[in-house]
Amino acid sequence: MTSIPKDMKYEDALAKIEDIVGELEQKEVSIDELIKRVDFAKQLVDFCQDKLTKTEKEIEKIIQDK
Amino acid sequence: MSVQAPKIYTLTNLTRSLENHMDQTFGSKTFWVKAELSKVVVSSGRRYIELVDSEKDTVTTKIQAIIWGNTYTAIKARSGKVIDSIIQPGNKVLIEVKIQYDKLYGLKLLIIDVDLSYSFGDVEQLKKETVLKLKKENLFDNQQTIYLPTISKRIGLISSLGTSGYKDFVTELSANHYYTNFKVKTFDCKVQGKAAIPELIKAIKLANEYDLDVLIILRGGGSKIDLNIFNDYELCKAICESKLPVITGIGHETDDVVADLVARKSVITPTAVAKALYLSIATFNSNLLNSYKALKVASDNQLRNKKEEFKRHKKDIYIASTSILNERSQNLLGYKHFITTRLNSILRGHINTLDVNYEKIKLLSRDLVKQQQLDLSSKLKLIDILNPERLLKTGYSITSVENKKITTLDNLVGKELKTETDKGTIYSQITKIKNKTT
Repeated sequence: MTSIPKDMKYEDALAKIEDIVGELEQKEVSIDELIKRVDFAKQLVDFCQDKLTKTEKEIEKIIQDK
Repeated sequence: MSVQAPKIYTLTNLTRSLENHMDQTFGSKTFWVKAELSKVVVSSGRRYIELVDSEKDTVTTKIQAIIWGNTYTAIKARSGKVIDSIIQPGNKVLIEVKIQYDKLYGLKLLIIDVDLSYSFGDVEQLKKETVLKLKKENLFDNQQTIYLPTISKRIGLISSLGTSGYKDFVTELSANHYYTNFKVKTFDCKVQGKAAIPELIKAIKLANEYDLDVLIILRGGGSKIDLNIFNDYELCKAICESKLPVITGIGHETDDVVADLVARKSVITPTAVAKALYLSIATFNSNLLNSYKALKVASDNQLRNKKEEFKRHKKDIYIASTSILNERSQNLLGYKHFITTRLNSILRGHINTLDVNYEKIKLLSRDLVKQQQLDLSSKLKLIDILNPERLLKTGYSITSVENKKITTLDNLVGKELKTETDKGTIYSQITKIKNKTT
């Protein structure tokens, strides 16, 4: 299975998700690759959501501190 | 011709005859005479006087005169003490006299009255002449141009030591409650009679050689005639020319003398001079104190006003700054709210994008799988349809030669033909081939 590189950027992750969506829309993915793609997409979505949650909390903390 | 012997008289006969003649001629008559008193001797209430008359400083007449004690007392009772100052050597007088010849004491004028106004007129005349002369020489106002220090501590004192005027001055100066730290340099000299004039002038000039603040000329009480020396031109000129400011304290009751007029300042008595000196310092001190108090009050007021003003400004600044802070705080809250809102919006946007993408992925992947499943299913069906066994079951058979599909009819004769059926396999020999007619 493909895993997310540690230094992955949110924007890159989002772009990757959109690439996968594009591939799926174009039906360019073989069944063998499909699970890998979906799994990777799920990882990317979780990564992005985690990133967003952390960012939100961080900003909230910064604002509250001030 | 015989010479008649002269008639011989005794001296007594002659003087008696003269006495009678003088008595008959002048006995009851009185005469008003202008003369100058050159000598005055007082003895037992009587005044023995030498009268002179002069022209161009040369004595032209001299005669003895006398005022009897009772006559002098009568005149004094009528005119006051001024008569003492008029009957002084050097004074010019208008006197009523009787001519008396006494065979023992000789010729004398009996003074029976004195016209005071004449002597006073002489004083006034001298005053007038002195004033005119000093004014003409532009000396009269000299002293007024000299600065009189408010604080005059180094004092030059021209006076006759031991006189009441001197004592009054010194006592007042040293025993007052206001200021006593004066330095007095005394110039002792006469202040009475004409002989006083050169002494006074000398003292004024000498005093000007000292480092003094002021020069005081003192003379105790005296009559108009007594004080007439202070109308003397030379004395008044010396005062005018003094570089030191001169204060006169000449004790007179009525008219000023010229010395008073030309002096920087004149005060009525020696005591008053002392008072003027210490009061000037006391007044200065008092003014200084008052000014200090006024200044303090003013500065306190100003300070208080400034403090009030500062308080107001402080309050204004506090209100204004609080208002600005509140405004800024509101703005910041606004910004914070905006940022939070925008942030949420952005996050929601991203989350939404992720959700959408993920949903798409899920949907598309499912679709893709389903599609594959469908394809597979259709393929399965096709396979099923195409399964030879299914054909065999329906009665069809499958023929092959050498386990190969027959693709050509050439060269098949003689070979074994394999026919598979539902029930079994049939092997047969190919004997004949008949091609399809086209």
